[in-house]
Amino acid sequence: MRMLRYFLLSSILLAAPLFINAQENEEGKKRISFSFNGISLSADVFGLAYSLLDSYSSSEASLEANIGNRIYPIVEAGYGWCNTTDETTEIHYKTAAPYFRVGLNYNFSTTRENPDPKYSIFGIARYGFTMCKYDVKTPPVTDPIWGGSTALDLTGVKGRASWAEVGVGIRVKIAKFFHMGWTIRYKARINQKKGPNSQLWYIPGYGINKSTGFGGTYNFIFEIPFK
Amino acid sequence: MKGKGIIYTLLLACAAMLAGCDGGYDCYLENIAYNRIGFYKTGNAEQKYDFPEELTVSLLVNGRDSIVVNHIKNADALQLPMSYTNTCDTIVFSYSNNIDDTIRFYHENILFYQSMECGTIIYHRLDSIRHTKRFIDSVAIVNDYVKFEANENVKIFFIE
Repeated sequence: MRMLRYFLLSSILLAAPLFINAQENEEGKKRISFSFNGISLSADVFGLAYSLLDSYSSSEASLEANIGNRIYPIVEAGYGWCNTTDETTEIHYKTAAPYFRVGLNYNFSTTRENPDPKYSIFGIARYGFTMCKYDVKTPPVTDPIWGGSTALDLTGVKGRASWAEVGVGIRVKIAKFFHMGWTIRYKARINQKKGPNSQLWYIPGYGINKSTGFGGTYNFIFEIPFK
Repeated sequence: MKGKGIIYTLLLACAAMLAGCDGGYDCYLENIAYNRIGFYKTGNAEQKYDFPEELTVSLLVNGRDSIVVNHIKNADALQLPMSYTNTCDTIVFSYSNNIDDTIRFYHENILFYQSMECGTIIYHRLDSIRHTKRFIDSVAIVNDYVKFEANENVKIFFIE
């Protein structure tokens, strides 16, 4: 059901613009250009700001190519961290690791009349993955029937996870070669590696280890034109 | 442009609808994983057996009896808690006329961290079982992982 959900969402987001362009081509008015226009470097500042509010966060940079001001293949690399102790369960969890995403942005706002709009709305599709090590320390659990107690004190447990993301973003040209924008993303975990006595709680780049979740970025984008 | 506007609206509506389904944690909320035992007659592993003798079941905790089931009749199944720390649980089946059977469950204990919110759980893996043969003919492990599902873990075959 989960797989179906994000497959449907990504299909809708990615297929709709093609439908729009197909219509336009039938009318003979517009054609899609697939020329290489340059690359952009981007830095996320939302994660850094969020780290002031919570015990976990992440921050990332990305490199994207501009294909006809419409399709933007992108690689994102970031670093996520978490160091927290739950007040109720008294469990301590710590991790810090890099993560990577690959995917593309699709600019809905580009038209033949306005091929490089100042304001852009785009769809997002990503595949993300991380490999990390984490520490878990739990308070003793007492056996109410047989007696005795036991606890976990794990260090350097290896974990990995992958996930898919779909979403939307807005980008605004602030100055020549400089843009700002934000994205919101719906995330769905694809798989995770569990240890013999534990599983990931915070996944760098994904967030809290639920089957689905949300994320966002606020980006400063520097454009490096090639023509 | 009108067509695009409609499609954008539809896209946002679909995204909002799908995004409304927030995922949950993969965690168990139960605290104790019970060893689920079924009673059978020798030679018939398919049909449960209502054990006709009066049965009292005790756990041998630190050398002392701790009764968990007292004087039941016609029981065909039983659930027993397993130790979090010991690797051998000794259970005594007491019948009428001071006849006993002792069963030893050898097992591994697995303490598992689920999440900050759900905490830890303990489940077990049965390695082997040894027993006396007063009324019990044989035992069989049918599901070695003792978790929180209602699956039967052990079959006890009684002499008729």
